[in-house]
Amino acid sequence: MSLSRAKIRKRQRMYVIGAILLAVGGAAALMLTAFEDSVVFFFSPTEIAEKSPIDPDQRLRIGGLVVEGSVAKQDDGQTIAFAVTDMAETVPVSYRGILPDLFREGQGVVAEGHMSSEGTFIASEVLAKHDENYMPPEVAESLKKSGYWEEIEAKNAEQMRN
Amino acid sequence: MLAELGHFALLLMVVTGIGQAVLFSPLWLRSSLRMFSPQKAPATPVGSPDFPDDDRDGHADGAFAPIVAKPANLFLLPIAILLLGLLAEGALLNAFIVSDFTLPVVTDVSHSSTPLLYRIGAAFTPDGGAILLWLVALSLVNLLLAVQLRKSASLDADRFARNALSILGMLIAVLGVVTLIDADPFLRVTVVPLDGRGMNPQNQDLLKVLREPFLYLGLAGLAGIFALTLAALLDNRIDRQFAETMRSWTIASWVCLGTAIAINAYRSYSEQAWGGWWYWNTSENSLLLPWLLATALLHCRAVLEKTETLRSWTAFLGITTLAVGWFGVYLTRSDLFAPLPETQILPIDSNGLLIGFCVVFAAAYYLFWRSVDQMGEGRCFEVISRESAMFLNSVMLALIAAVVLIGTIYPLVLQWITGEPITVGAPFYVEVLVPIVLPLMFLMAFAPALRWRQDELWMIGRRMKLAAILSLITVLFVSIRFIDLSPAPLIGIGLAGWILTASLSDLWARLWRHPEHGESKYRNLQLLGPRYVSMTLAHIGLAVLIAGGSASSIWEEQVVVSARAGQSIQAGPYNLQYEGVSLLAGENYATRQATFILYRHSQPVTELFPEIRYYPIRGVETREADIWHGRDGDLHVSIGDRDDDGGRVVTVHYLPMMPWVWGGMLLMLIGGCFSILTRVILRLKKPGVSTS
Repeated sequence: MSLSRAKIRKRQRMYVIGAILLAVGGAAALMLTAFEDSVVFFFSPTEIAEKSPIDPDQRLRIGGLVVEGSVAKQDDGQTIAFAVTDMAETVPVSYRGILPDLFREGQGVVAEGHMSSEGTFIASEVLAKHDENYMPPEVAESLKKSGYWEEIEAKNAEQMRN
Repeated sequence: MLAELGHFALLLMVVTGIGQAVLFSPLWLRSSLRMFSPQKAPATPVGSPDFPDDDRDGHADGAFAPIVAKPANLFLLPIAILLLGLLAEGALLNAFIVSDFTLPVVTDVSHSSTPLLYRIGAAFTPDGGAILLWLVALSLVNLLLAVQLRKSASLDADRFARNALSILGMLIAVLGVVTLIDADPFLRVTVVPLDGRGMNPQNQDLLKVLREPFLYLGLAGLAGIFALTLAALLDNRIDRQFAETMRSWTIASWVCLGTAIAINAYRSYSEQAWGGWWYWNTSENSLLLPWLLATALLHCRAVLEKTETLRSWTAFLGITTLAVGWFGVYLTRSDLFAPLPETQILPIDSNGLLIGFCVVFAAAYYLFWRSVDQMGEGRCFEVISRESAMFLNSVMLALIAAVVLIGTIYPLVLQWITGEPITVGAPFYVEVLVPIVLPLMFLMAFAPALRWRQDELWMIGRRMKLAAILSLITVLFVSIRFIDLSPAPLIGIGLAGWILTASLSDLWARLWRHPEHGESKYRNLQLLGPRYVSMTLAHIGLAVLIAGGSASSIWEEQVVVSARAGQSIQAGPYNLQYEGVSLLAGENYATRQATFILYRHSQPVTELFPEIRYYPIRGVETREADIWHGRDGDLHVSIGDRDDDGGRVVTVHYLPMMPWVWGGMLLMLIGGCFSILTRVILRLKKPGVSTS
């Protein structure tokens, strides 16, 4: 009796361990494939200029400062065009919809979408769920790379003093 | 002056916490010695009133017995800690209410013109304030746990209670030290600013204010579970009694965390440009993680209580749930994840929170690892049984939690390694989680209909026949009616129907068909018991939630137009007439409020007022959508800027069946509350009788 019971228990443990391994393995495989094709990379305008032409199917994020005076409404009344810069390169962006609360000319912005074949970034989302005097870190990073960070910082400090 | 008093109270709280940890714990050493010796702890039921002669046991064990304490001893320190915590919290709240700008925390997130309610709410937003709130919740849990474990008739039970309280005392001390080092909210500055920088307008929302207490109460409840689990591990008593003790705590923290999630979802939904009701960002994920594991724990605990199996898995979940909750707090509080943070970015690093986390959980997992061998397995169960279904479900829930955790920290790790900034968003989670969630839901319907210990496949087939047929009919109906549907939402709807019909047919069978139940229907209803009712409510709630989510994602309609006064906008069965915008003054903001009249089939239904608010203190605009929850769906209206030609950009979303999502969440929470309430009522009615 005790022997058969031990046997049963052993078999059960095998089942359980097998099921868990299967589940974990499956999840890991799923995750690896998902990382491969649904992770969104971030590009600064300079990187976009370097890597163009970019495959229009690839989803990506761009970030930078909104060029002052570049925000304009298209003729259909709903599409908004603006330009994003890291002070070295500039990428035109078009977006259909309502811009978020903290979208301002001269401020940092991150947009998600894809590049069109004409070199315009078609944004499906413009992200700005943050504080007003906060710079998205990717944007800060790309500005540092392009060497204009100090200038922006000085300008911001100036504004703070006023 | 009051701030200093609060500071002192916080300091004393740390000291008292350490005191509680040490005074209650000469047992630590003793129990661990006992744990590593081969013999098992005697399984004396905890707190059972049927064991009046435990005194004899105590004398026999007298040489090793801890200092036998009078009952008052168990309460003294927890009460002191709670009072000190309330004093500290009160001092902080007072500083915010009177706008005491000598405290930098107040200056950073408040302003004299902020309305009173939001000044109070602002007190929870900085790191120090948030952890202080957690501490207060913890000390409340500490006292409640002392009350719960007070009836320690036997020495074993007394030691168990003291170990648990001692661990909680240690947690309070650690978190108190973290608050004092990382983000002391009571520091003063000598140069007093004239006024504050103002609350972040995006936090100025009643729901946000409500969310914080629920979140931290939930986390504190998890800490209670953690303490109970460790104490049980020390004594090697992961048994039925332990499961019974843990019951209210699991359900209560599950309800609190669920409420926080529901509030968070509704808030993201009603704020325009926040990306809908679920966006998979860090703050949402850090709420979801402990909730998922708490759900898994809820089910394992039930198995443990019923059959004394799954011991090590339950203990593991009991520890990990708090670990994940704590890590989530760290993630949202640290500025590691800045792409879309909701919290304030203040120059505060939360390293203490991380170090405390590492120390506490390294110790906890070490203890777990040492005692897992001695735990012994429970009785065995068959592959086809309710135990194994619930176990499998909890494994899958844990797997989902693991995926969410990895998805959340993966960008961070990758950026450390390669320096490449990436984002992991909704597509990733959908791709990975859908194949896990669908079988989970498929299995979920089986568990209530399965028998404990052993069941037969053909029996289940007979029981589930009706549900299977009905859900297949639903799928066929939907797929014929709407031919060009993508498969995933269709399967979602089908599975929602499957869970719903399975729950209802099981209920039906129990009420009308069950041979063991009496003839009277009323008697049958009574025999169901509160557990069954709350479980069914929660399962139906989840089914409704999933059906609503799937349907609204399929049939969502979005209209963006540039509207002029008098223009009408069509969305679904609704017709919106734009009446224009008026400038109004809010409490501490100016608002442009648009007026829409909503018609359904040309019958006026209601008026909607989406707004653009301007907060002058921070110079920030926020856009508040207005939502109509109709019987066939939500209508979500928000306004944007004025056009050059005088029109105004209006975005209208029509989300069919979206009210189902909110209703489903509500049903799940009601299920949890029902379980707690019936237990409390039974306790009050017949003291000492448990509801099992």
